[in-house]
Amino acid sequence: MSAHLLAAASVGAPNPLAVLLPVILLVLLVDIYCLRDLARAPSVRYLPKFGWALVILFVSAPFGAMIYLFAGRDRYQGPR
Amino acid sequence: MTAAFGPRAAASDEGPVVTTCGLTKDYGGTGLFDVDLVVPRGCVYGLVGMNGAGKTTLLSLLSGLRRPDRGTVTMAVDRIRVAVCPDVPEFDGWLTAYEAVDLARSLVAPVVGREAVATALGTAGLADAADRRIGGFSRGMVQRVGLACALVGEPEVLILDEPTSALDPAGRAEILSLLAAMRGNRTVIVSSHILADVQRIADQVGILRDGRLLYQGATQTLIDTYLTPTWLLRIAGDMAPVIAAMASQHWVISVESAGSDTIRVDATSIEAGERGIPGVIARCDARQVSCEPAAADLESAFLALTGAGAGGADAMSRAQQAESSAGTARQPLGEAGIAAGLMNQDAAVSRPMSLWRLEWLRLTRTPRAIALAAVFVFYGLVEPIATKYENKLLAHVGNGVRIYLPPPTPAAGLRSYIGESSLIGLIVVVVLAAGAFAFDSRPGVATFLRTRVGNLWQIVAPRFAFYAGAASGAYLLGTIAAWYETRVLIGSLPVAGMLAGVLCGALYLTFAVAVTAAAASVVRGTLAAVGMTLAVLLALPVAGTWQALDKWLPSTLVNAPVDLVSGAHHLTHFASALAVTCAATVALLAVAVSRLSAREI
Repeated sequence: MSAHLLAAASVGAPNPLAVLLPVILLVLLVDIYCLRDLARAPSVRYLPKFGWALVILFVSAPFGAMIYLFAGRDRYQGPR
Repeated sequence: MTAAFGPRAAASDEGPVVTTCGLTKDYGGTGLFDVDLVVPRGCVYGLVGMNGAGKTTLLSLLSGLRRPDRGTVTMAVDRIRVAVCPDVPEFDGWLTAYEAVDLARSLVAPVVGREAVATALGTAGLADAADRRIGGFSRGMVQRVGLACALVGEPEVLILDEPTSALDPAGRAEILSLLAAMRGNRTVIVSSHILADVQRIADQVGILRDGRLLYQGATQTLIDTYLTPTWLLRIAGDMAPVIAAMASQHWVISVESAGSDTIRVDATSIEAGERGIPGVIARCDARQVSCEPAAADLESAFLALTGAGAGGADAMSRAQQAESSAGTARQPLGEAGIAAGLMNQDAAVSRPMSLWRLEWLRLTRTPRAIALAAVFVFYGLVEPIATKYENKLLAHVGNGVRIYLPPPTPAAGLRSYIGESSLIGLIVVVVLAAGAFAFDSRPGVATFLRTRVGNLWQIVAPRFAFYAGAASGAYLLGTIAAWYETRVLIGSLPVAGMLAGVLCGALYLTFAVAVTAAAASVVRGTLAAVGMTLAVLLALPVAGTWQALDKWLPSTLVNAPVDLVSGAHHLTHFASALAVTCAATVALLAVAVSRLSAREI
C-alpha cells in the first residue's frame, strides 16, 4: 500500500480501495489455495469435490475455506 | 519399576535375551496371566494364538508400552537396542518413507550414517518408493515402512506384531524369509495367528490361549508332538493300489482320496510318515508326482500360480538383492522409479529428520500454518471496518428504534479484533495444538514415538515451541492487519503500546497451548483435549469476575493490547498476570510430560 494512500486515508474520508483491497486479497489467496488443494486431492471427505468448491466459494469467508481445510481434506490421500 | 532393561546379562552371549516371570495383566478376566517367557539369544521366536489370546498385550508389555499388574520383564540388552513394529504402523501422511525412516534413525541411532536409511528401505522393499509421501501408500507399503523403521537402528531385539498381516502373498514370503535370515544375528520375536508362517521361520515358538502360555520351546518338537502329520500325495495313473497299501500300514491313521489324482494320508507321527511314505510308493511301483505336507496349502498354490516369489530361496535372493542394491536405492531405478522421482516434490529437500523438523513439516506441509494466519489476519482486516460502520449498520435494523453509538475510537477498532481473535482464533489454535499433542490417540504413532524416545520432553518441547510460536506469529500478523485498517479508517494507534499488548496476548496464547498439552495428557483424543482446554480457558474469565483475583489471571492478558493503547492501564498493571502465566505455562508442561510418561497406550 503506497504511502500517499495511507496519508490520504488517515484523515476523515477513507479510501475504499485502501480499506478493502487487503481483505479481498486475503480472501482470494485463501480461496485459491483451497481450490488448488481441492483440485489436486485424489479424494475428499463427506461431499463431492463440486460441493466443496461451492462451500469454499460461497460460504461466508473465511469460514467456507476453513471448513474445507479442517473437515474436507482427506488425511490419507491416495489408495488405501 | 517392574520392567528391567540394562546390559546386566549382556556380558555373556549365552543365556536368554528376554525373560518374563509371572507376567500378569488383567483386563477383567481377559488379558495375560502368569506368563514365563524365555527367549533365547539369536532365535526367531514365534508367538502364536487366536485373535484375543493376548499376543499384542504380551508384546506391549515386552516393549514397555504397558506395565504389568504383576511379574517382571527382564531384557539382557539396552532398551534403545530393542525395536518394536506394531501390527498397524501409522505415520503422518505428509512424510515421505525416507523421512519417516530417517526420523527413526535420528531417534535410536543418531551416530549411524544416513546410508542406513536407504539400506533399511531397500531391505523392506521400498527403494523405489523412498521419496513418495506415506499418505498415498497402501496398507502393505505402510507396514513395510514400519519394518524399515524397526530395522534402521540395527536392533539386537526385534519385536514384530503380525508383521505380514497387510502384505500380499509374495510380499509375505519375502518378509518372512528376511526375518528367518536374521536368525543368529539378532533375536526376533514375532506374533502371528497364521501357523504356517510361524512354522516357516521360527525355531522357537510360544503358544498363547486365553492369556496363558500353553507351550514354549522348539518349533520342531511342537510340530512332531501336536500337529497332525498329514500329507497330500499326487499320483499319476491308478491310485487304488496305493490307497490299499497305505491303509495296511500300522503307522497310517487314515487314507482317502482327495481329488482325481490326490491322496490324503494321516500318519501317527511326522517321522513315521516321512520314513514310511516313500517305501509304500516304491513297493506299489506307483508314479508319484508330488508329496507335500498338507500344511502348505492355498498360499503355495497362489504363489505357484502367480509365479511371484514362489520359494523361500527365491524370496531370500530377492531380499538380498534389495539389500545389496540399497546403496544406490535413492537413485530412481527403472520406469517406476523415474515416475516416482518426477512425481515427488520433497526429494530435493531430504534434510536430516528430527522431532523438531517433524513439527516444522507438520505446520508447513499441511494447511495448518496458512489456516492459522488466515483466521487472525481476516479478523484483523474486517473487525475495524465493522467498528467504523457500526452506526450505519445499526441504522438499517431495529424497526424504527434508532441506536446511536459514540463515534468509534482507534482503541475500539483494536478491541473489536481482540474480541474475535480471542474466541475464534483461540479455538483454531487449540484445535491445531490438540491434534499435535494427542499423539497417543493414534496407537501406531504412539508406539513409534514411545518406543524410541526415552524422555517425553523430547516430544512435547518441539510441539509446544512450534505451536506457541505459530500462534504468536499469527496473532502478531492479525494485529498488524488490525492496526493498518484502524489507521486507515479511524485513526492511528500508538505502536509501542500495541507491541507491548501483542507480547501479553502472545503469552496468553502460549499459555493456551500449554493448557492443551496438559489436557491431552489427561484425556485421550483430539476432540476431548479441545473440549477440556476450552472449558478451562473459558472458566478463567468467569473466575476473573471476582475483582481481587482478576489481575492475577492469565485471561487478563487478552485485553492487554486495548488497555495499553487506550491508556486504561500501564504495562505494570499486567506484571502479576504475566508472572502467573509464565509460571503456569511451565507447570502445565511439567504436568503434561509427567502424565504422558505415566500413561500406557
